[in-house]
Amino acid sequence: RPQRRDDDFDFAAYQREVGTETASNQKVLFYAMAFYTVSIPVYLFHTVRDLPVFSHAPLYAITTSIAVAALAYGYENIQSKRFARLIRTRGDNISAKGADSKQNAANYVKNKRAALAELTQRETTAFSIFFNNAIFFGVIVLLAFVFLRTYHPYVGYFVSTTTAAGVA
Amino acid sequence: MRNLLVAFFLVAAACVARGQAPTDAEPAAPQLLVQKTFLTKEPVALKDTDIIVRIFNIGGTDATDVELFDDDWSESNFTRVQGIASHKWDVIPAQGSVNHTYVVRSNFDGIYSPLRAHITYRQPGLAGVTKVVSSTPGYVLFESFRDFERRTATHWREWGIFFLLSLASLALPTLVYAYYQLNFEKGVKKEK
Repeated sequence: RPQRRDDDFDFAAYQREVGTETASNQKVLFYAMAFYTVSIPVYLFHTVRDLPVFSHAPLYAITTSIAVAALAYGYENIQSKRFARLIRTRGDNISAKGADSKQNAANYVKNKRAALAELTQRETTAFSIFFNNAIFFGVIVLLAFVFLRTYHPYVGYFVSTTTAAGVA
Repeated sequence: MRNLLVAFFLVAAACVARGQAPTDAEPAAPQLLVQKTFLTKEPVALKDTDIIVRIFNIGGTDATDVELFDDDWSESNFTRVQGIASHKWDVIPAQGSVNHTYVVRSNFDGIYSPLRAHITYRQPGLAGVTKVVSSTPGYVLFESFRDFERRTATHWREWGIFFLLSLASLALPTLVYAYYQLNFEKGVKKEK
């Protein structure tokens, strides 16, 4: 049974407007972070697996594009799910207590919820990036340098990178 | 008539075989078989490569004054590291064998075709020397040192750089998340 709130503010609508929809600047952050993360194993393949970047540019370009898209989607997915779960529980703690007057109570609660949503969004963004990156690096090292070690470097790079980004 | 012809050829074949087979009073002459091969499984340029020459006497008498000549491994392409490519043995007994090893180092990488080694020896009852040549291992690939290092090295430096780069992509979001976990509880800043 939902708790009665101090105001008639539509929390679900507020969630849609502020919380669950990923801001455009957050998307830029996700894609930039995904590109940096996917680019790191390229150094290993260039040096250890003898797959020079410039002579294999098409392979690197295609694989990086697929992996960046998959990893950025993973960031967004984890972040939005965790945000929705947290904001639902944390939003119950906000009340009009501390407002100057009853007239300012609605604005007071709205501002508090906006601040809470922003804080929760930053927290879940950080967690999502850390979580997905950890899985990505773990899977790519296992696949490329343990299970696919005897395969051709082309196969090793493509399969390990795309699989790691898809799992993350 | 047909049976007579078969019997005639059988008798003739037996006489020829008996004529070629050594009798107990005449042991077989020494016969040397020589194998020249690499002890190093994967030769690499600028690294020591072990060569072995095996000489087998499959004849019935001893081979004497055995000399091995191996003029392979020209100084322009190879460096003699240990041992010499020639050797002398006074006797190689019948049904016996000897080995001779030496070490060279290649100054180039690529395919090389080793030459055959030459062996001379004396047979009892003959004035001159008998010459034989060894087998050859065929075309041999000397792998470049750079490729060998890349294939077999532990790459600690590369893994270290990868670890630092990956740490950068993990440490920053971890620090941000830890900050919120330590300083906020359920979205509300903790009072100190």
